[in-house]
Amino acid sequence: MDRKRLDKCLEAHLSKITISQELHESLQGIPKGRASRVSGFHPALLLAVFLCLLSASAIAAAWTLYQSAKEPADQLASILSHDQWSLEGKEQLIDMMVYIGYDLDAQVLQAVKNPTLEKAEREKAAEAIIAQTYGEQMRRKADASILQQTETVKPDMETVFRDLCLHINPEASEEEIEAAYQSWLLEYYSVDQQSIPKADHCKRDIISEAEAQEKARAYLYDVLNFSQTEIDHTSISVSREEKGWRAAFAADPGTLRDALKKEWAFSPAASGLWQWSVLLADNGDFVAEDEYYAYCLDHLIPASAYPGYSVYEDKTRAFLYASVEEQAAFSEKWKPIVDDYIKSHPGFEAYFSSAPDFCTEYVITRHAYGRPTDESIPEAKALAIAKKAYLQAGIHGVTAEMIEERCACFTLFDVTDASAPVWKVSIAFDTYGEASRRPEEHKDGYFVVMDAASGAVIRQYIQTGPEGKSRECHNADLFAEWFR
Amino acid sequence: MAEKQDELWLQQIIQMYANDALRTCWFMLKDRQLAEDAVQETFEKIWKHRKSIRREESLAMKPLILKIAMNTCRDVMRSAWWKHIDRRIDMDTLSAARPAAYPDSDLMIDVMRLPYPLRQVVLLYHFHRLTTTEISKTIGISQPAVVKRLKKSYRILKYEKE
Repeated sequence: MDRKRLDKCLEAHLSKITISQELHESLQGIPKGRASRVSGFHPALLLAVFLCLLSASAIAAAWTLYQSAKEPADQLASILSHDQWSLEGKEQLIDMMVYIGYDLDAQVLQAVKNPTLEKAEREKAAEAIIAQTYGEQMRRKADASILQQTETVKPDMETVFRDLCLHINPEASEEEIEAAYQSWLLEYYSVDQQSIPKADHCKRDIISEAEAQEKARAYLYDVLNFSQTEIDHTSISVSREEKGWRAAFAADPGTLRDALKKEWAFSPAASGLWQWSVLLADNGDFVAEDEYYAYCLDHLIPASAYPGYSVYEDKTRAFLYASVEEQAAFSEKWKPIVDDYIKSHPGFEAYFSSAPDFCTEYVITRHAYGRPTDESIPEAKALAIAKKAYLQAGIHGVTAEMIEERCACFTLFDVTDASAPVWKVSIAFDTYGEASRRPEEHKDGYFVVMDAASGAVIRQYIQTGPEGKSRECHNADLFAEWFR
Repeated sequence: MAEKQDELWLQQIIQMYANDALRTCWFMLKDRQLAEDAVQETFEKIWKHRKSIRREESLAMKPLILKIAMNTCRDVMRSAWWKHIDRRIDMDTLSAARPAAYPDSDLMIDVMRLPYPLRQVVLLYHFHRLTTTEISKTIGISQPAVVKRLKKSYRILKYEKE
């Protein structure tokens, strides 16, 4: 039997990925003391081989069972996979149940087959017969916490398959049935390699925004198992991107079923807005890329509230480039709102504080910003002190000219401790031009916190990192620390 | 003595499942470095909770380890900074894992582009060869939901029997 294409594909790609020596050593070092590596044949592996040999006869039995069950199982799958659970489908299932050997109520069965009866009456009789056999399983499946009432409930394919196997071989063991079912599943959902068309998303038509919206709803239903009610409680927006349709979702985990909360590990304590997005293909297919699932606070502060957002199109930068006056006005208005929200959603504090760097709303509102008083040194003086301190530190080979020509400078007047306000100044290299890069991505930088009254430097942060991704992470952490 | 046995047990588990964990994490996170970090975290969790893990299950621990690895990946994907990283998959991303002349890279890219919940069941079913029952327990969803996701994946990949 040919190996399946998908199996082969994954096997060929993934089996080449093996842990590096470095990772191996690192894993070995997890216990306090570094233990020596186990070599040679591991007893567990030998036992596994022994168990495999033992199960060879069971595999043969399962294969025979699968061969016998294949054809009726295909028919069953065809019946149960229809979106509409029609009378015809129910009749076909009942025929199969007769074939399997169920002792069905003859009177009710007659009603199902009686063409002179009303369709609704026949359907009711068919449902009664099916419920007689699969009722309990269907009731479990129809649990209000799992499916909505509007959705059609059918017997589970595996349950019916199991009955079919027991009809074919009453002596079949659970393991043999399970193996036969797995074999059938693999076969039923596979086709020859030649008949699989190559995916070519580029040539597809681009669907309309309204259609994309519908596809996004379908994504929630089909991929994430959202019920209709949950979909209705979820905010969905679609926007056009070069590669397809970006579908952005926002939901309050508090409105989700327990099953979904369990899958996504939402603890009650962390209940809050959950935002995620996926990229759909031009035709709305769920070819998702660049997907993320995260809590967020975006919904609390509109982008337009950030001074100068229309110019910078970046919330952090817009806030930093704002004047001290604008920052103070922003802080007075939005900090209490974010604070209240975090207070009312226990668990968020820990979540955001563990990785605050990119949650603009959280970072910006952790401190209160105000206006300098007569007792404070003015902004220009704070900036001059910071520049002087940077030069005196003698790092990065920086000169006064370089600071003036190549650095972006930001100031914040932090009044979180009203009795001891501080100036925070950031001076960072801006090799890409002032408006083209986020300040935390600058190659090098100098951040300083100083007493607002005296101008005395309280803390300073020096940012120097290697090129590449780790540099950005490093700098982002440092930047956030300064911001905090 | 008990500590020594624990260490030996962890080494066995690492020996048997570290590669599987790494492959899983790479498949979910699409990034070798992040995947290695996630594997490290996975085994740290196992070590931390070793007292509550039944040792006699060590031969059948694969679903549990994959579950912990996937939960770790999910937490990475849910972290606040994840959304700021472009994770689009292309041939270059695959090159780290791809043999020099490997057929069907297009299919692999399509699989990698599946949404997370679908990618997860495809991996467990077609690579790790778990049964739908095991997948159901591993992910924490019902068995019909597992089959539904598999079918949806096949449809997207144009892999379904017409």
